[in-house]
Amino acid sequence: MLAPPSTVYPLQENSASTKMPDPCLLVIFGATGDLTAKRLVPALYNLAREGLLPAHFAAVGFARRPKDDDIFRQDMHDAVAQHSRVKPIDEELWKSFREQLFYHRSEFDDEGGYERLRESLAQLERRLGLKGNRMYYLSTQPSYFPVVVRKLHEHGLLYDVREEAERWSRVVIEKPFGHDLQSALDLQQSLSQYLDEKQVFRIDHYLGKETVQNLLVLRFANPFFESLWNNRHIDHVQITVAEEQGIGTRGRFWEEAGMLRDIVQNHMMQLLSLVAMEPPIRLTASAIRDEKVKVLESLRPIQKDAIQEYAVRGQYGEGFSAGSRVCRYTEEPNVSPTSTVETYVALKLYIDNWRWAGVPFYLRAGKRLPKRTTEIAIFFREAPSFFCFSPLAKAQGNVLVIRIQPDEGIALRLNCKVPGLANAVQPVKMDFRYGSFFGATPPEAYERLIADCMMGDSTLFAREDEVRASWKFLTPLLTEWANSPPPSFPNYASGTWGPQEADRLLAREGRSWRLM
Amino acid sequence: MSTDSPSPETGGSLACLFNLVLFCHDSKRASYLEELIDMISDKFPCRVIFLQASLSSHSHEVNILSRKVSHPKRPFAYERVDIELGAENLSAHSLLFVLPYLVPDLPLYLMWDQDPTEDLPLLHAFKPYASRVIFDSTTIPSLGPFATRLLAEGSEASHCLVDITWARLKGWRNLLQQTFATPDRHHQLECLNHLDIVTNSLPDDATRRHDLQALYLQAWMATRLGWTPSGTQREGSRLVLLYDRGGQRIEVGMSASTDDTLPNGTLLSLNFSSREGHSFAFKRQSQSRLVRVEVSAPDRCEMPTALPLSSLEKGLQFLQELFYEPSSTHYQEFLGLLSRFPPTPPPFPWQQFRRFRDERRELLVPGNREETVEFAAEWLLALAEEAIEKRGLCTIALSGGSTPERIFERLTTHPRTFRVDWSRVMLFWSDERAVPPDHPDSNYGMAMRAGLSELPLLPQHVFRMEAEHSIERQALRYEELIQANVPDQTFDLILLGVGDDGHTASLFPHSKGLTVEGRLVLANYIEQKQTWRMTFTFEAIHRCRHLCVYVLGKDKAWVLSRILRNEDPSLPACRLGTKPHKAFFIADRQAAQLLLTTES
Repeated sequence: MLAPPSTVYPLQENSASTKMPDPCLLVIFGATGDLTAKRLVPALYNLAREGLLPAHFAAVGFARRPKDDDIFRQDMHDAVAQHSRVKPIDEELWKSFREQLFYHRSEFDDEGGYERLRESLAQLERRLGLKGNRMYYLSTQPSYFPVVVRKLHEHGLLYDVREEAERWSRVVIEKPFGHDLQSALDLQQSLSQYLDEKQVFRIDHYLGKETVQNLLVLRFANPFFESLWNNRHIDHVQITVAEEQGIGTRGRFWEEAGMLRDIVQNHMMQLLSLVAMEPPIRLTASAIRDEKVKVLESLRPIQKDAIQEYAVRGQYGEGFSAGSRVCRYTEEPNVSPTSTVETYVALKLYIDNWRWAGVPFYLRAGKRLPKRTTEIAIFFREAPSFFCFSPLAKAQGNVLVIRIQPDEGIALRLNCKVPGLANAVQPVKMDFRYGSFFGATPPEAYERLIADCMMGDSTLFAREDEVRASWKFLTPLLTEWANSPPPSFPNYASGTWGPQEADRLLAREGRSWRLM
Repeated sequence: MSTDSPSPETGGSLACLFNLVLFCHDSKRASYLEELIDMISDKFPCRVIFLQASLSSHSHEVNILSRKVSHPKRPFAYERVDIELGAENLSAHSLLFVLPYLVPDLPLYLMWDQDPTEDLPLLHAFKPYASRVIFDSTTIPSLGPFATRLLAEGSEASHCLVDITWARLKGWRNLLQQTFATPDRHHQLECLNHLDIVTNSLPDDATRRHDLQALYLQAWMATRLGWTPSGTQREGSRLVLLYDRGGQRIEVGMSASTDDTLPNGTLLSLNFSSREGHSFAFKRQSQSRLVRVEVSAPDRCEMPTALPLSSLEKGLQFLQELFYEPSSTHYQEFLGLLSRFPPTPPPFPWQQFRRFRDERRELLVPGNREETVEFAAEWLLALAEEAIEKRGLCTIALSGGSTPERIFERLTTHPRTFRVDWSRVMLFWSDERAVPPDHPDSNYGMAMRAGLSELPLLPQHVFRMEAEHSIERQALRYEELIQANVPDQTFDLILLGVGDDGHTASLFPHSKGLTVEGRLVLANYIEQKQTWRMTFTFEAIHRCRHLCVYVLGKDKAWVLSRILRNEDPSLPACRLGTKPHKAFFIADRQAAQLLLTTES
């Protein structure tokens, strides 16, 4: 999964555990936003603490608000103190780290702003002795993505990919990558005018999570799973992304997006493709992503007239969360009282390939569910029904659960005989928890992803065709839902596991959602 | 282990990632290993099996204690088995005590606190089960020969050999790699001509030397940057290693300083300077993981920065290197360089100092006092190296006096010291006063204080004369020791001095010891001083390959000239040297003045 560094210096060690990010400059567009304060700068700071940030490095915040270097540094200090996964902040390290932070005030479409940026980047590079490696992180409103990339190009801040032997330029893009197929294609069109796919890194922070990366290891380093990983042995798969919280202060954003766009289109499709993919021919970014795309392209399209059989939407009503009464979605701030936006989605999918023919994949994602949990559950086929040890306590099918968060780990449900003369059967769980076996706390998703981008490893980033395939599959559903009135919203109470239609989606086939 | 040390038998679910079998041969290192276990179990819970040679228990006794160890701040507990073995059982049998306690199916890592290439039945018994053999080179006396053996073993071993010192340098290797990762910086590295390394010298029981990390780091850089070793020299207490790169000379200086907030051997600072006048200074901050980096060029200074030396979590990088890193080609290359280092010096040219000889004696005059001490130390090291090379062992008998004291001091700092495998050197004494070892008059005590205690000698190879009580019985015992340990009772080297009265060893004029036959060591009553001494007889003295007699200072000029001119056969020192076993008198110009003036 390791891309060769652009230049190898003699002191560099060529082992997998010692890969080091290339020296570079990072420009953050939208540096006064939440993401920068809560995720990006704390991640950079923690990389610095781990000794994983290049020694030759500077981050330039690019935003519209009037600030100078000192104010920006102080703001970032407060942000890191509050949001870093390790507290308290190491003031001595910060003294060095703050010198690597700069602020550049400009409008996103101001020619002069980019010209000044070009000059100050060149100056920084001279000072740091850098060869010109540049990482542009777009965490602005998505509508600015095309203009920023165009301006970067016009001001000579991007390199032609064919001339990148000695130095590189990379653009990191935060979700959302479009809001439907057409907008995604348009955005891609505006990027590919100036950028090669190799230069684009689409962040899906789920891929930065340790347990998601472990999916590949679990599947392909344990051959015995692989031999069972098909429609002969697997009955169905459930993927759940449950949130206990409501939409909070993100009303304005949520009214535009909804659950399908915010969670399903990116995160859940990534989980689905990692669980269902064929073994890649080698462990490189392109080989792995080739296989993931094939999964998304094999998804059986949802027919307009059969939507109710495959998809359920919901919106939360009043109820309880963490023991206190909470309001319905339409009473949240900045939400229309008549909103038809979904806060819950359940889907039944089929992957029409040889391996998965006939195996349903059930996906559900919702806000204001009883607890926060993300997991993948693989349900194996049950023993033939005549083969019954005990009519009272029946054997239950084997389930392999991969918990993404919290309590990252893997559990397997098995059946055991209850000791005694009678042949009673009891399901038991073999449970592996990362936290109970490894004492080290894993890095935050953003730390891993930023470091990977600096190293040029795009394995954990979404490729253009993945994004396209995912939108292509979901856009008919989006359109249909937009055009047809929703069922009587709200259709589930806060603090429950979603609308009853979602239960019926599985009950029709004699299955049920896993009790969590 | 501080106040929050693990308390047995409390909560925490049991976890285990591998079996870790640790050996503690030297009880002084136990607390060091305990700290390591604590650090490991914080990150990677494992079944710890700790084998320790017991001093108190009877030689056949075995004590086994198995318990669960948990820690209030840790989510998991681990199981630990302590096995205390008497000396008799610390052989190949100890495997039999370990096998029942292994967690099946999980890998076994062996942590060995001595030379992992040693030909020991115990080690052979464990190696087939172990997938990693983790060893600590702080206990290795001589790196060069060790690196050669390790390379040979590594090429055929099925297990991975992991060097703790190498793993400890992970942080520094990363830091240097990062600092020099731009074209300009890399260019400066290419034209480097000076590197100065300072290590923390804070002697403790667990780590025998403080310069090991410095030696490792510079050897790693040398292999990465293509430097060829060309020599060593000494500037005061500073050891300088010389390299050549494309005709350019590179000097690597190593010296010691003290920071008592950091452990012994920690790298305190690195200073690079290049021919183009650039300099890079790395200073380890006290009580911190940070290294302050100052970079300057002839025309400018950069703002100093602080870089972290290791990962955020204490010891994580180090432990990952110990348990997960495969043997790297960098390490192999590094061993290759160590095995060739320092470069073989030219044959030792003692003949040039020859001033006088007869059929049983030679006089060598290397120069003034200082030059003579230098010569004596270097010759001793060269002889030791040669003896080990030819016979696998070097036996030396030392004497007391102020001249040997100077020589011993020089031994510890001489660059040639690195070439000697001190674990194969055995030390004896040719005479001793009737005082306990900590008495200021003790010859043994003097030698240790003068620096021999700093050499990586094995304690069981240092044979002190116990002259403080029952001196005659002890003399017989010492004879037995010689017979048991010195092949053919022939020493490789015996060092002697000469007194103003012509005595040598503790063979004073007219004393009984001069005439006793059939004995190697005896208790000699010294009429002149009215005291007993334990001393070698001439019979023992002439059982040696090299007999060196040091005579320094103008006070000795008269007696030396009388000895070598055979003017007074009653002087015991006149009897030194036989035809088959020549005596080499090594004198400075002042001591030899009477002989030199008449000659010229």
